Amino acid sequence: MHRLIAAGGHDPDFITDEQLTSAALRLPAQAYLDWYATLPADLRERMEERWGAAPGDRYLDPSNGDLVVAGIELGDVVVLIQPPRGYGEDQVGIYHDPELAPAHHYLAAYRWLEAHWQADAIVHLGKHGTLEWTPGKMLALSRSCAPDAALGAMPLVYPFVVNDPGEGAQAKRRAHAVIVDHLVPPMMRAESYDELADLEALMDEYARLEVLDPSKLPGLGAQIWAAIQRANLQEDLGIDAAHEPEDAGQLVEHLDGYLCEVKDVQIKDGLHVLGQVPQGPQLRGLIAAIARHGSGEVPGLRAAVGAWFGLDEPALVADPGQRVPADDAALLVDRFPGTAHRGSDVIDRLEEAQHALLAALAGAGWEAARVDGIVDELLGGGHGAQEPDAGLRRALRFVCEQIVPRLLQTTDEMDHVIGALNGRHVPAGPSGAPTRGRLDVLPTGRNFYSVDPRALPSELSYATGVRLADAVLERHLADTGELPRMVGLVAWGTAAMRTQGDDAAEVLALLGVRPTWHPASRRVTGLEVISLEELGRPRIDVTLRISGFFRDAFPHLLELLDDAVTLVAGLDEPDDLNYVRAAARAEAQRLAGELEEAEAWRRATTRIFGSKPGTYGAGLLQLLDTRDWRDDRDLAAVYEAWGGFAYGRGMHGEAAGPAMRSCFQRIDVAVKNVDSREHDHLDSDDYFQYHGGMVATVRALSGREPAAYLGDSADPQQAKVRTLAEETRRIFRARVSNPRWIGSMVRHGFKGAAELSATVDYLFGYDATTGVASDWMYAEVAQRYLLDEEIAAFFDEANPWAARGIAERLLEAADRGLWAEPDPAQLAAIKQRYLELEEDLEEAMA
Amino acid sequence: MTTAVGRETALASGDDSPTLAPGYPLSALVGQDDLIEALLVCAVNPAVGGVLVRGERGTAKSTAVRALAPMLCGGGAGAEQDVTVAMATVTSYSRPAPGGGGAPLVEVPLGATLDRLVGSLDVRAALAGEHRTSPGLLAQADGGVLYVDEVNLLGDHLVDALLDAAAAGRVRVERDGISVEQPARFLLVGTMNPEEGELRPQLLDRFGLGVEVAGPRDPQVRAEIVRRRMAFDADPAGFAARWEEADAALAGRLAAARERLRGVRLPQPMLERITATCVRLDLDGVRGDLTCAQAALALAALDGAEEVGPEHVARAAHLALRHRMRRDPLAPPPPPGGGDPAIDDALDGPSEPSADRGASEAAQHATPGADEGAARSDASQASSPKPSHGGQPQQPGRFARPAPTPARIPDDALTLRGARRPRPGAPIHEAPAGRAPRGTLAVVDARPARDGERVAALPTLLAALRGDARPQAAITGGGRGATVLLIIDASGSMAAQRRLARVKGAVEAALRLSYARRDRVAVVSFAGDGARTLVAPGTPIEQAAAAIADLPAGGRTPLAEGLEHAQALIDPRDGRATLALLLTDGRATDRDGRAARALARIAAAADRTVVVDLEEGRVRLGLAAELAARAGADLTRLTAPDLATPRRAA
Repeated sequence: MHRLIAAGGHDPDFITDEQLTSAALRLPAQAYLDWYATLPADLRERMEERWGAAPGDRYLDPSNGDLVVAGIELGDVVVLIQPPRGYGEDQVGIYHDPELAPAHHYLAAYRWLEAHWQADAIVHLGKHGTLEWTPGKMLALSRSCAPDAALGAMPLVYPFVVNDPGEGAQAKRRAHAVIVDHLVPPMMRAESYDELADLEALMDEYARLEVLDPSKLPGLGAQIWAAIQRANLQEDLGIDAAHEPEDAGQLVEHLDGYLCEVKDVQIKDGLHVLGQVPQGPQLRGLIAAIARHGSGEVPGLRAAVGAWFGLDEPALVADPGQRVPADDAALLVDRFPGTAHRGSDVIDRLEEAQHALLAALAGAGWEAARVDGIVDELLGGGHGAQEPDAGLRRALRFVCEQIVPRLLQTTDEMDHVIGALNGRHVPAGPSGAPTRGRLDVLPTGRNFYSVDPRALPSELSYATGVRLADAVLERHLADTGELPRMVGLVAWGTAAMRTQGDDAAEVLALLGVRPTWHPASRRVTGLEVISLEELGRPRIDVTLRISGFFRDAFPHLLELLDDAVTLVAGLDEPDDLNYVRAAARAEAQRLAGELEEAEAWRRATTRIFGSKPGTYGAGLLQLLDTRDWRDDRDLAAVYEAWGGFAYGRGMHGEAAGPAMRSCFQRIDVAVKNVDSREHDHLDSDDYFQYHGGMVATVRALSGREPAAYLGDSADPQQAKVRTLAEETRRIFRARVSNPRWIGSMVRHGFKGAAELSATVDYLFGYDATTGVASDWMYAEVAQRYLLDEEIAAFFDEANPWAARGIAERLLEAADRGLWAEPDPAQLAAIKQRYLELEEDLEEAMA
Repeated sequence: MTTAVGRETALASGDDSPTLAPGYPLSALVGQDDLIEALLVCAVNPAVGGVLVRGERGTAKSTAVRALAPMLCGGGAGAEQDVTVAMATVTSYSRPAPGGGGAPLVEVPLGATLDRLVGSLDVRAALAGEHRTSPGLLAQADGGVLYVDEVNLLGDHLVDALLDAAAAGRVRVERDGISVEQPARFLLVGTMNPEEGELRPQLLDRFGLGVEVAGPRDPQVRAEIVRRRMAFDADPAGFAARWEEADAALAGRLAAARERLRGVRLPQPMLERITATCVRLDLDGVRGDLTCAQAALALAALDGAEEVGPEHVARAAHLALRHRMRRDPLAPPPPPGGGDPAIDDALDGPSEPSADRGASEAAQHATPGADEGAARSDASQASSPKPSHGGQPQQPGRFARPAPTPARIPDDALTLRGARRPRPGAPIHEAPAGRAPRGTLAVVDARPARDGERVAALPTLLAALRGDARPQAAITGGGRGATVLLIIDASGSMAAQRRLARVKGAVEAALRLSYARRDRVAVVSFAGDGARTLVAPGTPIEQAAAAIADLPAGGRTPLAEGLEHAQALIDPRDGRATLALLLTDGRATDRDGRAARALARIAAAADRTVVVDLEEGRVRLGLAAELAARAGADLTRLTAPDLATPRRAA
């Protein structure tokens, strides 16, 4: 990567004339012009409107006008950085127009590959590329569509993570890609660390003293309180920092439960390396994550271990702060010694037992025949062929016979990439999240397919959708005392493919309708209204912000959801039991003066908004990257410019700013669902763009602070809803500031450093849009990602650019007041580090 | 203007006095055909209005002018003696000899005062109680050549007076209670070495002809020059005698041409050709058209033609128009000698501006407020494209790097204010108030002296005569430009293409302003392992511009070294006011405060010190501002009004 950056990079903030003049890979301007002249006139017109006459003015060698391509040649392979789309170049464009025509240099880089370097094929490495999202038709592309113009006739092989069928399908449809899917990153349990580990020790002590010497408890309670404040946990626990709670026992129980939840979070253990089977602890961690939910007759692995010891693991997880009678856990503690006062302790012991079993199996070469012996040896005398003993053995055999062999075939990934380059067939396979019960997507290395869009939402996902809807309503009722009248929901195509339509199902459930399915094909045939009696609550109004890919992949689903809204709005029901109808009628009345009756009704029942036809994205990432914004109104302006287009029956992306504003200003709670532990909301820019952007837009339009929830359907049977603030603190503690996770990124050098930097950007992005990050989070990030000596040494070596990015983001956060009261000494240290990094980069680039 | 110079007297008649050394014969000059032609044109037709000779040192500029003078008034070599006498006795000169007797060649010395130039009260007479004027050099030159060597170094107020007199043919003095008008009809010849500074455009325009001279590049030609000069030095009289015939022939041709001039016709098509050429060159006013026509008449007369032909127009255009072309002061100078391709193009008829012009327009377009650049390039697109030499038709400059974002240093940053030195004891960053800004044209040459200032004798006397009893101090350096010291951060953080483009744009803007005000410019840059003098003080401005264009950039930010290096360039003996501009984003670690101390020393030594903060982006550390505050320098930001303008609005 360092060589690649030295070869030019693409950062207009850094690129120098000297680099451009000395760059080795280049396309003579005349060659570009000759080719460019053959492009369709409408494409050229759009490009020139934005970028001026060919060959533009970007990345040109100032001495002779050649278009410069950043890359290095390694024999018969040339490695390039995907050319930049150029959003930062045109800040005003972000505010007004999501449809950014490809820049001359963008096309030129691909043209260079095809015509000059004469590549036989392209391999795009790393999903979330830009080519398949450039403007043009959604399917059956024409010569005027940007992806087609760029790729020409070059075959494209695209390794893609198996749990992202949506974006992968997009690459297949719009960039004629051959997907070779790859494994998700290894997973691990977050565990506890630093202050949290200290607190755990104190709590163990507390539990011990409760039994042995209660007179010492008040002193220890004070210590715990001090430790809580050091760790800034009072917010997490929802207690007033100024007042120490009187009941220390209750506090400890509450804290114990919370810490357990944090440390039981499944987080990524580094990154997946294409074609490589995870090894050692990474392999075992991934197996544990996949085996967690079980499959059909096979129970979940940790639950089976619990059952073996006579413990109800799901109940312990549900209430980890609860005290556990010593007798209950005696058998377990006997084998796996340690504290076992509360549910959380017992879960830790079960975790140990599970990993001991997996480690022993690994030592035995994952031979299913060795399962019985290992169980007997590690756990002691069994219960024979009866449950629960049989369940555990089944689960372990399942690991040996199903999970491990599939994982060992991860080498197919590279074989099939090479095979594809040799013109061989890449076998097809399903897609989905392996840790969400989709073992069938393994082994990877397949050209994945997604779902039958007409089967969405499936009956199973409708059930999940109902649970998600109920969880949202319960939470809102609990927090505010009333039901929300309008729920704003973000729906992505990829998630819909992964979950078979959870989000759409949640919308239907909130409205109080259910789909009907064809008895044989299980395709959705229509809708039926759930009576108010059966529903037992009012019908809740819903506004949807769909992604561009959702629009492309599920046109019929848009019609189904739109039909559901108009259906419910047309029901003759009282206003206080049908919020949809109440709102639609009020809106139609308001519009009566300016529109025809039918038109007004259509407008008043428009609820689905998405990207402008032919475009993708929410625009906020680009906006935040330019740093060119002041407040919510700017964010809302971009959110609307990129997403203010109406979809539904007969509506194909008409500009609908007023309708969107009318809906958005009524949103009481903004919801985004996270359907798998392979992701969290601080993992990708899209979460803050779509969800954070929704919150910011509501705030800008209404002046109110809407509630912000994240639904969790990682276990489809147990849908949960957390507030954005809760989930942010949970993920922050479990992953973002977790030395185990940071360490796992350090293993991956340049890319790991980039992930760390991106995490800071996403946290910042969510804070900018929703104000969710607390000061202490910034301080933690500053210390752990930037100032800590070891990490600084890592960044200096692996990726100083990423460290500079982190420092810059933190300074921006302080400058904008998002980080309201940074410690002056720490801020000075960040500045100093920033200057030093810049000096080092200056020297390195010279 | 009448033929004041064309005083017909006998040609060189062999009355050389053996005690007088003869001058170098005009016809013996080698390789300066343009110059000689220009001088002859002026000699034939004084209406042309003088010659400006631009060129490096040692290119026979002065020799040629001196050699011409006798030919003008027909005094032969002997006339030079008169000049020498005149120069030596100029203060006692009361009135130029009327009529013949050899018109003088009067040189204006660089140190001349306004009094000396235009005349003033005759002090000696005044002391004797008599109220009388003493004529100045302008009046003395009446009927001859007024020769200003290094006219570009002459104070602007003197050049103004000189050109006024040249245009009016008379000089009017109204001062010290005197009002007198004297004839001042002379052939104005100015020379300048552009390496020593430029002449303001409005002054350039008032010279009739402009000639670029350079030493010949052909070794053979140079050898011949040396041979002749050595022969002349060894035996001036003998040398002159050898060339006497040729000089006489030249003088005869000159005389005949003068005679013929009135009869030469300027046909309508030729006049139209001249005016069309001037239109294509986009010259302001019609001074160029007029001079070109007069020069064409003179050339025709010299050729013995009865009417002006195309060849005369072409040659006249090169002599009369070249120095009037709106040349970007920062562009490299046109090659000396030979024709200017832009003029050839313009003469050739309708076409878009040449590549040369296009480049100059592009540069002008980058200048803040140069709207006309844009307007003209639109016009040029409307005209039919000129076929280029082979290959695809291409617009000039199509592959040129994007013009730097128009950026400029705020005007007030470039204005000097405050005293030459801070008052003792006053904090160095406190700008003393109440003084007229320096660096602007002085309108008085003396003012009442303050305590501790030296009293100037003559102004005091003159003031006393006016009835003002206060002692007067002469104003030195009035009307002179300042020394502008640009200190540029060229480190890696500034080296990025787009940022460097902004810096270059800003420096160019500063150079332009300095150019207009005739400031001296020095440029120091620092980057990587040290600092360097990019442009030494007094380097011609186009060389400064070239140095900026090639500004080497990248590496660490040795801010302290850069400032220390710059400080060493400030010459306390330089009579000019000093303005120091530091252009930086401030992004350097200055842990021990060395940079701040160095800047403080500069601030103490210079009349004004300004930090131009170039830090960009949302995340700013504000270190440049901190530095300025600590060193007591002023702070300003680069203004780039176009940055906020949407690209698509264009």
